[in-house]
Amino acid sequence: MSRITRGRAGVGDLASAADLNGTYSDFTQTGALNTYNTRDQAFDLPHFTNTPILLNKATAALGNSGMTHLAPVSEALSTTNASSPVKTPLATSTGTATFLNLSSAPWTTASGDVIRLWWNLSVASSWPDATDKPWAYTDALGNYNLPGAAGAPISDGLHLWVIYLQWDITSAGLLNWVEVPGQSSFTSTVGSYKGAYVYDLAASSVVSPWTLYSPGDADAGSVPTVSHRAQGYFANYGMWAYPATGAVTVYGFRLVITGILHPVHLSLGNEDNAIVYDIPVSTDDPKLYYKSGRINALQMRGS
Amino acid sequence: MAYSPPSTFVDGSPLTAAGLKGNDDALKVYLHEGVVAGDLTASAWVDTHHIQAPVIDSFSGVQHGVTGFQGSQWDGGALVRCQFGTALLTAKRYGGSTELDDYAWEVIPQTTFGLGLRKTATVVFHWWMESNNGPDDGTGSQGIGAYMWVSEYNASGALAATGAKSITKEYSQEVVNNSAGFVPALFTATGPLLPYTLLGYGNMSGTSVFTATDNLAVGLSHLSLIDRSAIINWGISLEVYY
Repeated sequence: MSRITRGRAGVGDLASAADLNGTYSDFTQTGALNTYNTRDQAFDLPHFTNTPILLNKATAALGNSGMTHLAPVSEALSTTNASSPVKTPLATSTGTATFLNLSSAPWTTASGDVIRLWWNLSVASSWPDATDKPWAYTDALGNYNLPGAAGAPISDGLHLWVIYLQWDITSAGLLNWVEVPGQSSFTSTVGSYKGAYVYDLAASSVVSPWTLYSPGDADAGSVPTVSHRAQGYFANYGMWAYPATGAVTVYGFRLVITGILHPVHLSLGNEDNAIVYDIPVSTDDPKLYYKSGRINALQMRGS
Repeated sequence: MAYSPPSTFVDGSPLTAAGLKGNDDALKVYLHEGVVAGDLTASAWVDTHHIQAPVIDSFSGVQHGVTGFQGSQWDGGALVRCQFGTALLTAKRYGGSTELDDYAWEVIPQTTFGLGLRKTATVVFHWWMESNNGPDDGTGSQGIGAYMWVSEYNASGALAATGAKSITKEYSQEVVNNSAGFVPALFTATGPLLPYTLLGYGNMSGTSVFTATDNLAVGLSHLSLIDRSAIINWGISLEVYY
């Protein structure tokens, strides 16, 4: 309780009204109760005000209903011109946008708040003629025409689709989607290509479009027979976190698909790694199909 | 409000027992129930040691504190607690109404937390796993069309599988079967046609966020069309906020 610092009365001291009043007023110490007056483990859940660490949460379904890979299934097309990349927001097969809609109760951050977000999506990459080799076109990246390789040219297997995150922090009309902080818009110039630097992919997940495999034995010094196939359906997963440094009002989050890209490494300057649109592979009209998934987000206070 | 004595004494006036007792009584009331926010230091001073210490629930393997629960479980290292999914449990290897059958989903062993929530809370459940699926190319196999779906489930009752499982199938994730079996080259089996590392070695991760009250089980369940899948590495973690 209150810390009383008045010395005790001694023999021979005169007792005045002021002394007596002071004895009582010693207990009036506005703002004096603090850590020295509190025992360990004094506070439990009932003592806390109803201001939880978790300020907001939201969940939304992505794509189409159902878990198997029958119709309806949605699709995203590959980019055929690097100067105007194809970016496909997730939607149902009939074109109804599926995203995390916060417009009716927007989230406003304070400095120190953290937004955490996760998504998953069932995806499958394919192209109309499975016997075609999208990577085999002239100037395609990752195209290795190895002498003696049955099934050549082969791919280095590094091509990818990207699923990345945008938000609308302008208005509840949801007409101003932009990439979240740390996420590229895939318009960076990388040498003679267009794409995104790896350091600018904070809110991206990637999907491998095809598999090359060799069922046969390899003789020393040669490449065995190579076959390929499109990837079957599998789960794709991503996350993003945003430590707020001030007030931002978020009206929605959505995921966007773009591709097909391929990694490159700059040999000059900072020698950055990047992923760039590989236009030749779009000749075979590869698509990324997706069925269903989910996006979750939390806003947590930092203080 | 701060303590204010009922009587103020003045030099030359009688000092009465009633006056002293009145001040003492008021002081007792203040010390027991009159301390208010204004009496406290305005700056933050409650430290972690002032807060009720969290407890470990050894049964469910989670820690419960003032703001909620947290905990995690994992395989413990390579193959230490390898788990499995199998069509033998979910009884769907031959197909059928996979999409509609809510009852075919079965719990994946050791991947469930049991909680006794003290009040309404937001549950954040994270999971990941790597599984080796098949090869299942035998009679009745659906081949390349066979999958193992995994989804988090939650159920009332803090013990796994004791309450009706709630699963949103659209939120599930899948890995495909190694379908093509083993291909002989000359007289030596060379392994599955499609390599585990690219098609059949499934890496899945998920996060679910939901509101719950009272006793709760939250964990992983699966529905498989594949003879068997070895879940080689896995982990689950839990955040619960009141």
